[in-house]
Amino acid sequence: MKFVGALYSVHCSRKAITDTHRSEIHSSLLISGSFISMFSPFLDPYTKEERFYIYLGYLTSRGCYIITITVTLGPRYGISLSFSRILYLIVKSIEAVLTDPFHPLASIMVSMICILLTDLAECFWLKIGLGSNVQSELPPEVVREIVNRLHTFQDFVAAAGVSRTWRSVCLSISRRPQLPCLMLSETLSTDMRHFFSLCDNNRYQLLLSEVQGKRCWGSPHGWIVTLGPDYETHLLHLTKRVQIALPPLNTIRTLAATEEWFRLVHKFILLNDPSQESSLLVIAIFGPVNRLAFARVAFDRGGEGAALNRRGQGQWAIVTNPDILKFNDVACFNDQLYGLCDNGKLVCLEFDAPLAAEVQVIALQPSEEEVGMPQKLYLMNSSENLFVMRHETICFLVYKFNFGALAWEEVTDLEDLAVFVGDGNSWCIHTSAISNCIYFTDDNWEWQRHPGVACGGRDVGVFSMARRLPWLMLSETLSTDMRHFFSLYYNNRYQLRLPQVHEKRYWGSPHGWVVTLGPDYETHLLHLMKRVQIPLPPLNTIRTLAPIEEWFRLVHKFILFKDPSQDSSLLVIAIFGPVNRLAFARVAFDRGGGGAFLNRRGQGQWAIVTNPDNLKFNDVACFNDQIYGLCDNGKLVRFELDAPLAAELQVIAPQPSEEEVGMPQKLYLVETSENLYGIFRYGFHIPSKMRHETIYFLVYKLNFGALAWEEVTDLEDIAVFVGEGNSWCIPTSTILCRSNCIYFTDDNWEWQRYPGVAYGGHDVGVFNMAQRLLQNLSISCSGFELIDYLGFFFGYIKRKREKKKKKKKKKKK
Amino acid sequence: MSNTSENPNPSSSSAKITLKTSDNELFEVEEAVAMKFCTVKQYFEDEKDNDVAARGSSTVIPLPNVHSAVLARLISYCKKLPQSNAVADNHEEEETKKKERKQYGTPGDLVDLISAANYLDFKEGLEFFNQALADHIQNKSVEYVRKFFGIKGDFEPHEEEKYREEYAWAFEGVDED
Repeated sequence: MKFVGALYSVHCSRKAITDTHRSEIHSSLLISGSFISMFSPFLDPYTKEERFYIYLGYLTSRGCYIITITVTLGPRYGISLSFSRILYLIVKSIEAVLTDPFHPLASIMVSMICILLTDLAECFWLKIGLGSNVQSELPPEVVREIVNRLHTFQDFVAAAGVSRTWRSVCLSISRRPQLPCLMLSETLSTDMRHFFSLCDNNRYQLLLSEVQGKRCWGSPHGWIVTLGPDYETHLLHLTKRVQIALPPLNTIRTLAATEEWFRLVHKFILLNDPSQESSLLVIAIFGPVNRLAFARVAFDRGGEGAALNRRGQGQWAIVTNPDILKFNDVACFNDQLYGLCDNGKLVCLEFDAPLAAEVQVIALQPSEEEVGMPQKLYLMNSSENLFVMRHETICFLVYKFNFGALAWEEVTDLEDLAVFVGDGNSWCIHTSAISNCIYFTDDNWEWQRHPGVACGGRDVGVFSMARRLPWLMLSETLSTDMRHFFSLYYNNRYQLRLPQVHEKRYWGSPHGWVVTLGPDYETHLLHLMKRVQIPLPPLNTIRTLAPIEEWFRLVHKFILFKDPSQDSSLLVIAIFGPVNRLAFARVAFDRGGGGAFLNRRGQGQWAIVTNPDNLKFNDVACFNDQIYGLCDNGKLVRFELDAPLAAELQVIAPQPSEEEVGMPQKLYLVETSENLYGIFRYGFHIPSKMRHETIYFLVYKLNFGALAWEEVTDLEDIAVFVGEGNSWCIPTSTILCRSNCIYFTDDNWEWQRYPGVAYGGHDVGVFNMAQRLLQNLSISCSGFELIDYLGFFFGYIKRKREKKKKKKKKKKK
Repeated sequence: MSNTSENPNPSSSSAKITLKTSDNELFEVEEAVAMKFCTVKQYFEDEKDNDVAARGSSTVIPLPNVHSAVLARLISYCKKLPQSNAVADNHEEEETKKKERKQYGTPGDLVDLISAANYLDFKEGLEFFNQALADHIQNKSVEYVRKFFGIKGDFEPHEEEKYREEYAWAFEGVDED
């Protein structure tokens, strides 16, 4: 190997690339098939090193492979060699180069010295044999990693313009994570569309005359589906501007004859056909009963004829659906198509097996108690999991499919996923920039009467899985069942039809559940997002102790906890009657064997806490798995629910001196992961205006060493929520709430004579601890008057607390 | 040169592994650090199988593709590694990380660091440096990227022109080099 010898001499010393050696290489003979060329050294402006390139080429019948050897002459590295890229050029272009002396590539050929290489494999042997020291140019897999980390679509496209290696790398990245773009709707008459990139928050314009006057469905493949008033459907690639006509919709139209064009198909879903590469599967969910049809689109790449006679080629094939399942979404996972039907039934779809059943039920829907009445369902695959989303305008619930147990499991964390749901494909990407969020667009065309009049189009937003709190539920007159919710995080208002709270009184909690009490003395637990209702035990025992109270004044406060002694069950505590007595009940969720705890106190009935000293309870909190109550004017007691022999109540700390606290109107007990706070609320009544006004708060912290209350003036980074229901707080580092604040709602039902007449309900606001100031809740909604917002706060903070506890446990260890 | 400076406590109980770089420099590093380099780990485990492990730290693992200057930086990065790779929770954290990544910013160094990390199969490092490099070329012109990586644009003129025309919006409004 003459060539190897020459290179080794280059490697030996810097002198090696003096003219003598170069001429030595020059003197080699051109033998057809292989060549080598060398460029004079140049100074790299960035690394301050001298470099030159040697191109080593090998011609085959299919093309030409070129290996670039970079020789770096630097103060640090001495001489190093690297084989960095192998390019594939089409033979024709090489021939062109050889004949055209002014062609840019011809410079390679000018100083071309060819040597004999018997096989390309020897080049690779050379690579190993020479052992490059430092690779000045990065291998494609590393380039791929770098390109993958570019945040914007713009950078990504530009990177494809750097060189051929980079282009091929960019093309090989199939998921293109940097390009979630939101296509904004416009009036039907314009053909300029705006795109909003979610990663760099930039807006791009694209002239798209093809979508003018049409309805569009998006997908993560770059293709969109358009449907025009003439019932013509097209596939359109947004960046390449290629348009492919889809088969005519005749078969679909015969099955849904009365539908208007823009409501004919609810959803077009684009998938890569699992059974055949380089072809797309277009799935349509259409008609009044959400039937399913599909068509195959093959891209012309060589011999396509083989697949021509398959179902759905050139026409829409209707999926037979004997059980009349109502399809909501379809996703492809592990080369298998899955559909989501009805309220969460998962089915497996088989399009090409004429003998097997086309639709096969895999998993039944989750129990109605768990999911309630979702408005929309979406199905998507990440690389490992199948997810289902339930969209309820104000909230999303996410379920993951457990393929082992063939059942849905609720998840509260999407980790590094960002999910996109709306009209078209439901899809998700792994990303660190915008993770753990659900991006949603309007998906309510069935309510739309006329095309183009944006009846919807406004229901667009982001739902952060980690930040689903806190909410303020606004009160309404008793006769309506429509409730308004105000998100303190998004500063936005949402509507929810809640017939379950109609003419009832309700109490909030941070667990997503609320307690309702009706005029018939029936109490229920209601999950506001899932719309699930669980009856609580009858109030008989409580009513015998407070016989003369009216229904809406019987119980002052319902407090909800996770039962500390038992996972997956809730503890409901009621403060009731004229002397504020305490009762509790346990609610177990049916998950496997619940029987074991059936004979515990409070299971299936209200148990009254014995209270020999007639303490007047104001609030209860659960701190470190112990239940504490705040009595009278600040006395702290701890009580045991399950120890029949020990005293149920145990006084922990006496109340602060009367001079200090005076006569607080309301007391609340709030726990953080480290501290227990007593909050004293002061205010007065204005009988003429029939309202109550809060003027001041005092906050005390329990000193566990001295077992006494200590006044604090600073709540640090927490925001406290007090009112009728649970008193709770959250660290504001996790949300955008004001920190060091107490959010309060009205809590004065004992002054109320009639249900529904909002005697109170006006006493809502924020108390700023730092400035000692009362502020209004900045509820800024256009076209919305807050006449009375008798409400309460609720949220969904299960996960956060659990995490904190775990951390604490670790510390202890 | 750096053998001693890399090991302030040579008396510490943890096992040491000796690495030999391309310029015949010897590095004695703690096992925990060395095991982050999968290539080294693999080599080490292979050795174990061959019952040569008895020689312990006297085994010298040759790294013919890594220069001493680069290895020294990789090791120092390794030592302050633990927290720096968790996914950032909020925006602020992300910003501080960006700054941290910028410190490794001299372009030529980064390319070398990545090459070495790639050879050593050092995943955390590779991730970090790749992101640093991605930060660097973000919103930069194609010419800058080419210079940065020492790549020659190998498209034919009409090809390049066509691409730039097709995706004109991607080439507009880039930062100054």
